[in-house]
Amino acid sequence: MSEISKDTKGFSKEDEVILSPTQQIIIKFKCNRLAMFGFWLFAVIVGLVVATHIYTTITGYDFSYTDTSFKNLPPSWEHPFGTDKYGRNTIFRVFEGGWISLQVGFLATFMAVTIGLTMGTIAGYFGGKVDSIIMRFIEVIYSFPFLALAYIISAVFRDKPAEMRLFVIVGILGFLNWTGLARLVRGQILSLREQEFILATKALGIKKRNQMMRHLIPNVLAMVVVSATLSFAGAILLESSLSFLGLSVTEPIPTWGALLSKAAANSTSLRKFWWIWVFPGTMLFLFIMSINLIGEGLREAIDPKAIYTTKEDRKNYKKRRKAEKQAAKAAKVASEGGV
Amino acid sequence: MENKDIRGSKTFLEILFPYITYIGKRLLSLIPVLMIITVIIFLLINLMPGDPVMAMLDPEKTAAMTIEERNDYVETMRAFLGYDKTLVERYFIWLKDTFIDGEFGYSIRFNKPVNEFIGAYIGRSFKVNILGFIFAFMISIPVGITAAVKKNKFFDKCVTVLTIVGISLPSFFVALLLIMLFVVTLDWLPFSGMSDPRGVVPDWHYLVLPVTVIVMTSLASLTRYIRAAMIDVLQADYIRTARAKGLAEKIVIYRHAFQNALIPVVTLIGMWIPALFGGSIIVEKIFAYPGMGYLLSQAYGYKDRAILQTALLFFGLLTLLGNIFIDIGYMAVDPRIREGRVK
Repeated sequence: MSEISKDTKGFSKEDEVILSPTQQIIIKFKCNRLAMFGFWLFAVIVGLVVATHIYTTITGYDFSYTDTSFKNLPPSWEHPFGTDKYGRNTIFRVFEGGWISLQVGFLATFMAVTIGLTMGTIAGYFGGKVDSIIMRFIEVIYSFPFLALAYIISAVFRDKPAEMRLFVIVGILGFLNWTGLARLVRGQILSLREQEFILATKALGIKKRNQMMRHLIPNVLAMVVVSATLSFAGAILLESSLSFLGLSVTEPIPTWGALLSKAAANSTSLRKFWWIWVFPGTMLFLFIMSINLIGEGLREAIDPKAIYTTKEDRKNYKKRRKAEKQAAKAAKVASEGGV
Repeated sequence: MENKDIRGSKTFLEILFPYITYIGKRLLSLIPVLMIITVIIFLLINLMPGDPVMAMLDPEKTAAMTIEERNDYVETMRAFLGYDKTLVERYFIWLKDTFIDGEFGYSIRFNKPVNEFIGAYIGRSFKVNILGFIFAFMISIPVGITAAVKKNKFFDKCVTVLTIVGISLPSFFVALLLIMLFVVTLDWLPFSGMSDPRGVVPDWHYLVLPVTVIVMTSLASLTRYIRAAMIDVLQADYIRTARAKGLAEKIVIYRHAFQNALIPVVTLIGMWIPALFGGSIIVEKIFAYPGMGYLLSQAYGYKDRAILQTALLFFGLLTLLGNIFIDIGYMAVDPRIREGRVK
């Protein structure tokens, strides 16, 4: 039997490996070169930011320390990213700036995912009145323009210490960003709850809570992970916009947005002291891009319709394309010769 | 189009009737949502630190007074401005002023009622954003459709990578790079503002950079959206039917697929409505372009309650109207939804 199948399909029983869905997703992700590039870029930036934060915490590096003899120096070996107008070393400020972004991004995403998943699951599972109340609630939250609201809320908390404002910002970001995910989850749950396996859980008398926690949520989890990755990128972008507008954590704690906003003040600083804004801007851009690349890679990896490719498959595909092209060329030449 | 003969037999009113009832229903459902929004806005505005009455007083006038005189003056002003009433009373007075009388309050930043100047700011935001909107659609529709048709080919892969780069670019970074290139290095365009006080530089030069930033930052997500919509349509059964009939690929794509891929674009237009009139805070602030976003950042600096609450209410209302526009738009373009076959 195995010989026959080996002859016809090129497979034998021994070759047959059954992979779990998670393993398949990991393999697909690893074979996506763009996603892996994003992954390594992300790892490098996070590594640098975390290392800098640990270093500055241990050595007690003072971000408000100023030394006017090093004012506005262009990048050199001593100061790889130059210095700012107070003579502070920009490289530390750029890497440390990511620390706030990381914190805000993780916390806000965690909050948004928790609320979104809970609300979406409840709305989708119970339907009816519960559903319509939650959907109206989502409509209210969705109608608030993020930046305009952030202006007012930061005006309310203007006199409070920086740490508290950071948590307020995380709160706003998390609280305003869960609506999209909740809608997505609700849609999925609505269709999942009509399926036979949920009927089976009902017939078995499984508690409603466990129906949701054990049977519905695991089915939407892959999609939630993708959505969470993209909202992580969104949260970091929004935090940087806020600190660019001066609504987030302020001096002496550096953030990428705030570092950029210094340059925007006038055209002289923009031209003369380019290193002050080009480095944090590039870091921010690369960081957000790496997260988006990972998200895109995950989205492709969880898509069951996507072609299952390994490195070998890709090689074979290229070979086949080449052969096809040559065959087409040969056929064309032959037909022209015939005419 | 397949229902032409049925529709032809209806009178104009009969065609419009489902729309009118639907719009009526949606507007009614808007009222509770709007009420909640007004409560939240009002509470937030009143949580802001600082005494609004003190902020309104002319410091030169109060400086000359004795402490008792000043306290008296402040109290009479407080009563005059209505700040001596309770929070709940003030909320209803605000609602009546805003929705019934159409009075949005008195701005301390400009020393004028908000009604007098807000229209001009909305108009200027609209001018920049409608230009950005048109350019972004003109580029993203053909690019998105071509990418979908050539899915997984070289062109599509380039578009995918470029759109990921595009959605990752913060708008303020793009704006700074453009200023660096066109203003500082090449000196082609003015740095900021809306018009040249000397009248040398034509006004449209001031629009170029804000519009470019708006186009560049919205282009990527628009293109992704249109590409995804087109890919969805191209997998539909009726496209297979059209191909099976032996229609030319061009006709299949541009007549059958393209028209249906435009349906989700309604959603995009609806989502743009708030930005269209409300402007972009970051872009307007960087270029000091006096639109709604710029007004809002000014109001923040001056703690101008009248402007802040009017602007927030305006943004919220626009988002709600955008949602209604999306629903009605779907009704108008999709006969399946119009006839209630699909909800």
